[in-house]
Amino acid sequence: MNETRLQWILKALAALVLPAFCLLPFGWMLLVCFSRQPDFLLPQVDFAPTLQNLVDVLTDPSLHLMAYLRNSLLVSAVSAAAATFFAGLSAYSVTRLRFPGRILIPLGVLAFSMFPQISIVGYLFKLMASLDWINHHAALILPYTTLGLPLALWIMISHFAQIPVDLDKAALVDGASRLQILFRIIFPLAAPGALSTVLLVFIYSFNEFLFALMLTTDYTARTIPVGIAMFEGLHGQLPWGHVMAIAVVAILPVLLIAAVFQRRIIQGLVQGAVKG
Amino acid sequence: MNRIVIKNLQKDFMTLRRGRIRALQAVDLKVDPGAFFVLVGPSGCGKSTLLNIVAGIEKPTAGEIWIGDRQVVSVADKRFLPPRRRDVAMVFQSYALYPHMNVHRNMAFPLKIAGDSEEEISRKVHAAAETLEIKDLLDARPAELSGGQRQRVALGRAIVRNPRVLLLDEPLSNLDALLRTSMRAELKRIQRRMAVSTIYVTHDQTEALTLGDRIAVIKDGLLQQTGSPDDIYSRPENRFVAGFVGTPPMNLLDGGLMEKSQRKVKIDDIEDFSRTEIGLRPEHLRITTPDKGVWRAELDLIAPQGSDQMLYLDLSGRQIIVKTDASRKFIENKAVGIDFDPVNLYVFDKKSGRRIR
Repeated sequence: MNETRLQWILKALAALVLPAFCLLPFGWMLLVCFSRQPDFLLPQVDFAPTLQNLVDVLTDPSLHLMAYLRNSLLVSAVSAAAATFFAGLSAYSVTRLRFPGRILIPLGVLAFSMFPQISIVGYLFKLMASLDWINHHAALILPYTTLGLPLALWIMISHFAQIPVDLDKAALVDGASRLQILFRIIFPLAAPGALSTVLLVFIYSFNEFLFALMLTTDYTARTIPVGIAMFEGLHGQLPWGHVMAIAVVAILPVLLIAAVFQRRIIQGLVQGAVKG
Repeated sequence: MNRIVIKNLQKDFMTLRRGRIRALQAVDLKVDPGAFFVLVGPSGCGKSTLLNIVAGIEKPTAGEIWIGDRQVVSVADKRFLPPRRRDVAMVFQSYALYPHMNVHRNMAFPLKIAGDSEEEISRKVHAAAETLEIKDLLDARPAELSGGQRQRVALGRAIVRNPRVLLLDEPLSNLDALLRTSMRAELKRIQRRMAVSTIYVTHDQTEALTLGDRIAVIKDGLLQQTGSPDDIYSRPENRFVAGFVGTPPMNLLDGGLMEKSQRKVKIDDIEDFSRTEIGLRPEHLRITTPDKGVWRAELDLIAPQGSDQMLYLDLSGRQIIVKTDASRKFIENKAVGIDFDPVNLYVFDKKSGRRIR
């Protein structure tokens, strides 16, 4: 066997095995979701697909799936927008204004983002309890925004740094204020970067489990990841078909976003890194 | 039309590695109403900083600036008007067009910020586009334009609101040579027609001599000389200005050479040349037969330039450039004589660099 052929085989293996490895759980999830006897610990011999599990979870009001979904979308969207907005303000001052030690801001933010999240759980709970925010959307939006900020800040900085400072100067001389410059010049030009920032924080918030588990008590604020986890406990047995059906529903929004904006996410991430 | 007065301006930058750096030192300037004033100097001399301070993008460390009868910045009086309250317009070397807006919206931007009505904006933009002959480009994005067209749009954005002062920061440096020459003439025509007080920054002394009503030469943050193009060229105040202005530059030689001449040159008021440097412009030098000139030199290289030619001479190890008519024929590596009219001899103090004669 010659070398090019070996290379080809290795590449093909990498291209097939890695995605297969990542997608296997999803495949299983789909399988169970559409199965009639969804006991996924036993091998099923006769697989006959059905939509019954999906229909059940979507129509049964006691499951509150729609409430969880709404909570998740709302909390994630607000957190993503807020994190990107504040990161934008910060990135602007770090890349544009001259003040001593400005590099310490992104470095400090990066340092804080490396603390394990579990370490703030106790204090966060007390804070939310004293604010009377437990089981409110705000209890999740605040930490999600905060925890999304470091990533958002670094992406925004890398994008803002690509925009020539001459544009700021020109706009200043044209009579614009700093805020007008930010919203009329910088943000529109950094739109791909801002979009990828929004999406990444959105996905992070959508997946978050720990804080959502701790800070919500029922469907008024509970998000989908916690909803799925709590699902088992509610009923005596483990209705795997329903659990997996909910998981499928939960994946859909993120999948949809990724499919629609896939090119722009990659564009935004790469653009900030290498070219202007 | 507004007079611009700059008094005792100073600007320091703080840097971590080198501490305090003085970018501008005690700069005094007056720009007459409607004048085309050129600031020229080598890169890093502080000329762009000066322009930024006039625009209000940077704050001075000391000094004050007046535009018309309005004081726009004064460190002593703690007064600083932001750019939007100075009514100045600026064109950048990079053009700094807003990439996400088409030409019309680029030019409309300052008017929109100022709060003009839609009709007003449209009328002014079209008028400016007419002046600059860019009416066909109004819908195009900056990325679709050539360098020369971008240049025009940048200029259009500057003149569209009829500013009190027009600031130009090396606006022609990114254009190719041919376009630069034609834009130079057009720029001057537009400036004359608008009669707007203009400060133009460049490192190109030819551009300065062509465009300026008055020129200020600046080096290391210090004004070297201010005057008309003729003053700067014919009566340079010091060695730096003499060597900086003119293509090819003035030949600057050690004064001791005057003692080593073949023929005594009589200069009235100077006896001792040992502590001087002498300057001779290439076009003031003549080539004679080897024995007749003031000095004897070797013709090293001939560089034809169309109607002229540059002769590079070797005068005992020093290079001297002579500019002559292209019709005269010379042969390389032959001995020649260099002669000049004593009237054209510049003499500088070796230590201070100031012109003595």
